[in-house]
Amino acid sequence: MSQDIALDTASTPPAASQRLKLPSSVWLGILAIAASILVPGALGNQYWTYTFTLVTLYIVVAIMQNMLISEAGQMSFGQGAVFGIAAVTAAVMTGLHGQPFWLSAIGGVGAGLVLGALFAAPALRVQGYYLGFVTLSAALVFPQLLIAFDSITGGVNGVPAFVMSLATPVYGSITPLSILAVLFAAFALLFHAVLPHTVLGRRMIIVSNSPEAAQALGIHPGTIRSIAFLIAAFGTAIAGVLYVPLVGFVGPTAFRVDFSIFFFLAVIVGGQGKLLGPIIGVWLLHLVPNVFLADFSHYRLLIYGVVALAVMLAFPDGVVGTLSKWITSRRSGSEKVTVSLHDALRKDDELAASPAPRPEDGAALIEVREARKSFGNAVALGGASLSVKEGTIHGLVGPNGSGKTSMLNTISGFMPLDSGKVELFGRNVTRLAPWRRTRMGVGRTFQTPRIFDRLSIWENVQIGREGFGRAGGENGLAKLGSLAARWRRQDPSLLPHGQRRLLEILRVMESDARVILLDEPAGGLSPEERADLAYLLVYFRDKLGKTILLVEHDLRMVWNVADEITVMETGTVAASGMPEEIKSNPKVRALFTGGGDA
Amino acid sequence: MKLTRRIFAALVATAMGAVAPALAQSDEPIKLGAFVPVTGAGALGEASLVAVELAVKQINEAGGIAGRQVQMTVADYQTDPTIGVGEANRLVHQVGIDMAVGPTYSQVTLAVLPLLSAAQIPSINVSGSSTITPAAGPYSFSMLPNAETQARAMVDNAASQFGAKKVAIFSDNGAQAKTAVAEIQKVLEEKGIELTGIQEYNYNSKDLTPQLLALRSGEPDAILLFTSTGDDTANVLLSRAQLNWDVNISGSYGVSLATQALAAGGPELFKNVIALNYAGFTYCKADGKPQKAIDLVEAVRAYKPGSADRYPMNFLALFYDSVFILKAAVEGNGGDTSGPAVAKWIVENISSFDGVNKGLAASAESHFLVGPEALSVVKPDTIDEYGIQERAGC
Amino acid sequence: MSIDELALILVRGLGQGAIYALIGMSFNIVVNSSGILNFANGALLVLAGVLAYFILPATPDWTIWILAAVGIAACLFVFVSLQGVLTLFPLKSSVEQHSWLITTMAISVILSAGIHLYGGSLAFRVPSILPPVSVFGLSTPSAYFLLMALAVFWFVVIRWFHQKTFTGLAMSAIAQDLDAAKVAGISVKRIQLVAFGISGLVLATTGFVGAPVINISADTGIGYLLSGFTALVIGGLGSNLGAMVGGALVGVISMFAAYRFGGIYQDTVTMGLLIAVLMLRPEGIFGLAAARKV
Repeated sequence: MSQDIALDTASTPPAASQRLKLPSSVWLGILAIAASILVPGALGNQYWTYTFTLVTLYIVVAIMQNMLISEAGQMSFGQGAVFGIAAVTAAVMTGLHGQPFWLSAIGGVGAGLVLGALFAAPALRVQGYYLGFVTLSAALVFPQLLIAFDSITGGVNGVPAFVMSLATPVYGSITPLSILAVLFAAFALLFHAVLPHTVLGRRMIIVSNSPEAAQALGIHPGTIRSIAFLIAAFGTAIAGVLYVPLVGFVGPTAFRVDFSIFFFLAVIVGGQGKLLGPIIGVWLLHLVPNVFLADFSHYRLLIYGVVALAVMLAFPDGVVGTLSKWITSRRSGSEKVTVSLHDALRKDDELAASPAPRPEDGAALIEVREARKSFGNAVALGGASLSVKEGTIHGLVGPNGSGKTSMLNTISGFMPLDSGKVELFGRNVTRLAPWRRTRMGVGRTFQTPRIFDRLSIWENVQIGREGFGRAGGENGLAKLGSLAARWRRQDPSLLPHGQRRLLEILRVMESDARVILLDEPAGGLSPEERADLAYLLVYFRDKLGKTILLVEHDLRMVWNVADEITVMETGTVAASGMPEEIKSNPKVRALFTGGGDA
Repeated sequence: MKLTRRIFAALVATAMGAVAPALAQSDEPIKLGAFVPVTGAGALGEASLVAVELAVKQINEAGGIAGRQVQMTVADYQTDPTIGVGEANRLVHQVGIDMAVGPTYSQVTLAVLPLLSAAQIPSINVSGSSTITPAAGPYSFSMLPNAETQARAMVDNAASQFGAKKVAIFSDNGAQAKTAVAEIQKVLEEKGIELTGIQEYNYNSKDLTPQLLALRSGEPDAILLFTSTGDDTANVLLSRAQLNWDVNISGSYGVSLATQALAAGGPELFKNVIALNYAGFTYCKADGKPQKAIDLVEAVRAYKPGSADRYPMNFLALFYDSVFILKAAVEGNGGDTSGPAVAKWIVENISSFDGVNKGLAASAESHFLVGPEALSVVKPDTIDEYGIQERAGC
Repeated sequence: MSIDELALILVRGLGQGAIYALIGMSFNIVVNSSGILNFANGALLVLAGVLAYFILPATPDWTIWILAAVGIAACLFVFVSLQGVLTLFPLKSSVEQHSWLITTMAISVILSAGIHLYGGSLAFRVPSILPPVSVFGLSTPSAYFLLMALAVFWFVVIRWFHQKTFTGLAMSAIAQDLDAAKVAGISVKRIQLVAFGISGLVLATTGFVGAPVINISADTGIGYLLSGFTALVIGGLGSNLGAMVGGALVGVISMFAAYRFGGIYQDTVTMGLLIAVLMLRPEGIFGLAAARKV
């Protein structure tokens, strides 16, 4: 958050202050939850108070699950086990060992956090449905282990545990517990609403959408995933602890594998990523079979299956998801969105007037020696060497498949070498993880731009500063600040491909990376935009002293801006030198004449 | 308070489209809650539901309980204590039941008893855990033999019939079985009988040879077998036959459900097998067959002709009798359905109850109505078309 | 462990494993063409067994047996294709939308509930077409051997189908690059429906041939689904060779676990194996490592 503040003072006019406006759906959700418990509670209806208090605890778990799926991109089918272990721990401590409830609650949450951390461990290694399956396994085995370790857990007959202070009604059938549940759910909902607008939330979104981009922004994906799992475990475990005084009993068959899957399905049915999704999902999936169909025990499952099928056919993005899509599509005339370098830097900058002195023979910031890498029979790099001097623009050209992107990947750390050496800023980084190299001061863009549609255009630029851990400050494009107010509201999914590329370039320029690697930045740009881009590259070299390695097919542009050029061919360096020297090289001539775009 | 609650309950019931009965207090029906796991519990849940339905139907046709009709509400607790407590809340606070039968799962019974006790609702459960004491449920009685009782009988049978010094335990993974296995281990230790192995299987698993193979390597004199359904009994015995292993088996009441095994493999499957059955389903040739059991089976067949054959009738009878015990208690009290009154009557008069199961007993210390003498040793393959078997010790 | 015990565990483990391998292959066909995991596979397998229960007479009769096999296969081909229509209908992208998760599970719930309504939790017993085979003096149901043969049969047939027929080639093209396949004029939806149908054929024959040894009742489908999926993930999602090897591994190891550690720990041991494989090789034994991302 401190970075947001720094950003405000540095580059945002006070008029476009960054006060967070929460969507009205949050308040609607809190109101619905509060009403569902407090109205029957005030009327003294114990059954509905009980049912909705339980359902509200489930909603919290589903909100955490929603956060895990939508922001952090983690498939967990094991949240029921986290809930269960917290409940069992708390129940055993109060019910069997007579500990006070507050202490048992701490114990329960602690146990939940331990299991959450265990789930995070495989998430460092596997992703997607594979991760889902690992967590599902834990959920499958969990009740069996409860029974196997019956000397600790009370075994198959479970543990009765009453907490009278929480379960005694204060008005009608409203208990302190039901009030706690309302407050807790409101907090969880607010948390989920605020999260995407925080640094942590944005990092989760980046990691889930593109772990590579995250690394290129200096973010360690494993850390972010672990934090997400721990937050989810924290909320889920509190819900599990509150379950104990509510139900008054904890038994192993309450936490079977279908209990874990339930939360995942509730998020999907309600609408993944939607704030109100978990509420609708849990209400539908719990109340329909267990309350509304309670009197049709024989046909309960059949009707349930048909209802679930019908809901998904009618609402393929979940109930809330499909409805909100429908509402958005009915709103006419969305604003046309463009990103232009022209706006970002008006040419009244005194660049041309006073070119900064640049070192003619600066130290080599990037040094690649004899890099070799092959995938089976395919050779990506066959002993290529490259040296990029400080304060220069270095062009890397060559036909398709010649190893240009492989070279970039080697430098930024995405492609570990079979043999050879990579040095950055004079330090051997051959075995260093990409995110660590980023933190040394290496930024990059990708051939397919990594733009995050969940974030606004402005946030897509802003993450460049955050990822590095330091604000861009005066190093950045001061002019960009004036665009913040407009870009903050705009959705990047409407941008054409070339513009997405520009956005990513702006992002890397905004970071305070000293070395910038650009992978075909001009692809898809118009001639005017290319000119702007060329201008920008020079600006960054001359005004801000950045070092740029440029992979590009637009040879004209490379020739105009590059101080040095390296030509690659089949994984090796064919030629390297000043543009004038290179021009006479026959291989380069072949490149020029070989194909318009080559 | 109670009135507002009733009014609200009626309002909600109407809102949900249900019909709210607005009858005068005197001829209002007696509301009976049936805790049965219709889904998720194998054949047991279905059989218990049919038992309660049939009993209620017969009672209503004969004029009800103390002149009032019985209205039954099913609570499908899905073998899950969370759902169980929710359903208990619904039955107690929403439906307003006067009495209840079930549950079968001990952990669900333990979970719902506090609610039933607080509302002074009398109930007959069919759970066997020893932790279900009169203190936990002062107005609740159990129609399942205490797990310890059954365990003791199984061990005694293995020792007396087969002279077993070393035994192995084989059971399904249901809650009843797990409770029983824990008790069996205690009894074995107490009697100094060696335990050579414990194995478990999932309901409805066909191939149990690896488990039996593992047990075989311990070379036991007998296996103590706890099954809950006739299907599982058949699976165990077929697997034993495939191993050509004719080890002695002392079985639980589930092993006496021999119909499926006889159909799948014939009487030779039951070589060296004895089992327990409820005395009401056993006879000695000299005395003739028990008429109550025959009547019940015929009534079930008339009521559910398509599916009657797959119900474990001896288990079904426990639920069936439970409803009649409540009827007897309420009528014995002059129509009082309150928990304390019903409990008092049962403790004092249960021995006079004449149902499918007889010889029931209760005391202030134990609410398990079925004692050791209500269980008999049988040769399962003597089963007749009613599920009635000859006693071993005639 | 004596030789007859070893033989029993191997033969029955491989027999059970063949069921898992076949379920794995039926997952693969659909997942390769549409990215959808059909979670109704377990219930469909049981459905085939239930149909076998109704059709097959108590005494073995080859004519009826073969006719029944063809009939049930045809039924499930149509049924699963229709399920494909329902699943694909609301879907624009199986990656961004997860509605298929619910629709396939809903079909599974509906099938199980239907079987439950008819038969309660009755275990349907289906007679074997061949008498048991004696292996080291232990009588072994012949269905285990038929299942192994069936797994090999489908492995070969699907391989041939993917390599030699136009539809199969189109399916492979879709699996490799959906967008390119669309551009090449392949009617993707139609191919995806055929894939659903073929997975129905695999499940139908498996449920039918394996009926004497499969636990056929309303609530056993989920167990087969999970074991089949575990086997597939271990072998490598998308690879039929992986399904075969994973199936054999899971089958033998869970038999061995039941024998060595007890039936309670069967799931625990299989899951331990799964987690170990995923940690060492996240894409499974024969799964393809993800292509270059940047």
